[in-house]
Amino acid sequence: MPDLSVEQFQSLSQQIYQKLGLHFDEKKIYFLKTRVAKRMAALGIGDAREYLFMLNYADPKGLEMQALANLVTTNETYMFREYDQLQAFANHCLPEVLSAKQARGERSLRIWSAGCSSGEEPYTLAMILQDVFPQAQSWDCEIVATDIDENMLGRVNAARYGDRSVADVPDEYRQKYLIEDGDEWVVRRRTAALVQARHLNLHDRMAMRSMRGFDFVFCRNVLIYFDDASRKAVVDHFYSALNPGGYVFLGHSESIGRVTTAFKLKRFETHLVYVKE
Amino acid sequence: MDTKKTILIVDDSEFIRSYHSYILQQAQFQVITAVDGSDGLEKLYTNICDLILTDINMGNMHGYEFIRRVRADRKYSSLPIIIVSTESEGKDKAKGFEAGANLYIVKPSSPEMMIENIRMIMIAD
Amino acid sequence: MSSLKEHLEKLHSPEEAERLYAAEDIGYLNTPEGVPPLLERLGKEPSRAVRDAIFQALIRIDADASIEGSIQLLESEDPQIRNQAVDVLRRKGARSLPFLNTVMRDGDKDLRKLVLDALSGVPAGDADPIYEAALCDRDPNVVITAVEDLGRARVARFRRQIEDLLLAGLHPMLVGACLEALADIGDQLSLATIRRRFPELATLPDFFLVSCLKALGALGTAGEFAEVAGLLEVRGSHLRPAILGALVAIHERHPAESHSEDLLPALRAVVEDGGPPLCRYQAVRALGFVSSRDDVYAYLVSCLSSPERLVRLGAVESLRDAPRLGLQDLLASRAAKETDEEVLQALGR
Repeated sequence: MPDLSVEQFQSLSQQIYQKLGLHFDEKKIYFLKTRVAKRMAALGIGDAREYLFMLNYADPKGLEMQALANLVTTNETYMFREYDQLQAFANHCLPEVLSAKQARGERSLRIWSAGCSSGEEPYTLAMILQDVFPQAQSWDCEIVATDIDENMLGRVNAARYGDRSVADVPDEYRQKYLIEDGDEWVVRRRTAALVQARHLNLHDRMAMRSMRGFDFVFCRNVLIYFDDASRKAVVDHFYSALNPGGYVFLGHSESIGRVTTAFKLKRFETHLVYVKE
Repeated sequence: MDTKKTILIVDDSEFIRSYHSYILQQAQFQVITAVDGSDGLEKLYTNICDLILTDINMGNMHGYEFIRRVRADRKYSSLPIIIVSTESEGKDKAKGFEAGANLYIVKPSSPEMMIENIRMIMIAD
Repeated sequence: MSSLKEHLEKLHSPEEAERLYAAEDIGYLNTPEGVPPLLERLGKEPSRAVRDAIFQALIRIDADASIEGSIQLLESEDPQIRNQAVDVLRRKGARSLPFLNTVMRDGDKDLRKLVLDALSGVPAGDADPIYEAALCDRDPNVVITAVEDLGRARVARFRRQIEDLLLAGLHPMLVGACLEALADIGDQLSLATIRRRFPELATLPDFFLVSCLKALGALGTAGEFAEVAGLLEVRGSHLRPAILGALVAIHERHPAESHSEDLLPALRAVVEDGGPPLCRYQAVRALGFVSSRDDVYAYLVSCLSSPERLVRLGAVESLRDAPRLGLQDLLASRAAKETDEEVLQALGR
């Protein structure tokens, strides 16, 4: 396997960060090397320097970067994925938004799970919402789960998941919000009722404009697969979709700061989050 | 034993980040680098930095904006910030100080002068 | 165009989102008439998100008007606007060149530097006259930027001018930039020039040494190997990645048995001294060159039980480079005790 020197690894990590907003550090050196080796083999390139040069200077449409992105990211979706980030949401961002609304006498909360796939994410958010904010039932709360794939939306509506999807659900959440049914787990009706599945293509700018008035947007591990211009357009729409004081969450290793500086960076303990001011 | 001070270098040129990094490391500083203001803020919030060295002309988030956002957080109201920029007009320097920088160095500056300025500011701090 | 008119009205809406959508729609209309109102709005638009959308629209509008407008914006007081204007020009590629030529000829030093920024990422062929001018510019930042860009874009035909700049040594930052560029586009003559300027490596300041090492890594011959290896013992530990990088690169192009004698004690010291893990990893990987030696092989085997995960990872990879009888069993037995995910992956292969 052609080897990446430390400097090359650092340079590549920097490039991936700048182009995709993804963080890779030394904990993932082997992972990144093997993926790069795969791409180099596919392209018939023997020297890592050549590959890095190509990525930087001979990849005008970003296709190679996309090919690499597909290898370095996992499409796997499961409940409570990226727990740290969900902690920031549950312990800081959500309470902050809720108290601001209470102070203003508002009793509605809207969350958008963009690119929700089979629904593990919106149901995770529903569980967290019910747990952190039991009054959710008496408020007008809605989690809009959108995806381009009708099959996926069907699965969101079915709200049934196998063991792999629920493996990371904390025990007390499992007891409160899921029911075991054979070898599957079904989301309890009260929790599932918070989630509305809807078809939406993130590239469809007119459809995107209909998404307004959200307090949170989650779009995790989706935008990495978009080219620069589309990614920017989508994030601009997220900005318009959010109420002031609303938060946007991309994948925990994706940085929205790479795409736009319209959002403000905030820190809660060790978590970095982005808010629309 | 003195622990080494850490300097955050913010510049969109990979060469300049490296060049300044090695000057600073040779002078016994530890270094963290960022590619622009947005990256700079993330790095600042997740590390302990004793001084910031920042360029102005960077895509995404430029230096004045970065400095303003740093200063907007009370925790960093007196963190020393040095601008290192190619722009040399009086109005640029005035803008820099207005944003909240402590010092404005015009690129390219000599390594010795840079270190001297940094040491001076750190002592004053 | 009534459609444009509608969008133009919304461009001044009190609602931020309306203005953002208006800018977006004007971009999609892709008509030159959309450019002047977008530029005019930019001057008074307080929202960053809307300004972003205006620039995206300027990129979409496929007309000289958006290029001309962006050229004007290069003189803005606001660096955000200047930088985004550069981005528009960059995206327009060769079409921007005639306009950029004019700015290069008539603009002040800050504008001339922005011209170069607008060229980076664009194939240099048509832009050669701009680069020729930039390499002779009276402002050092313009020259440095040009050298940097030409090196990274591998425009080899400028290597002699860059060598001349290296020898003229007008400013340390420029010298460093020349070294880095020659690492990318230099040839053996460039190496000779570099050695003429820097015959002695051991006492060079760090920032020169690192760039020299890059060049030596790319261009150096077996003759340079021992000299570079010797630096490991006399220079600061933060320089190890650069030194090791150069050694690995030279060895890959000119493998030689003799390299191990020069290298072994130093590499072992790096692996053991508890420095940055990535550096220790690099040293273990470098030992992989000479893992055909019994003593090195034995040492690498001992590294399999290092408390540092990157040392273990490097050892697995290096041992696989020169496998011996019994290696599979050895690695399997390591795998039984290993807890680190990446090391396990390397073992599982």
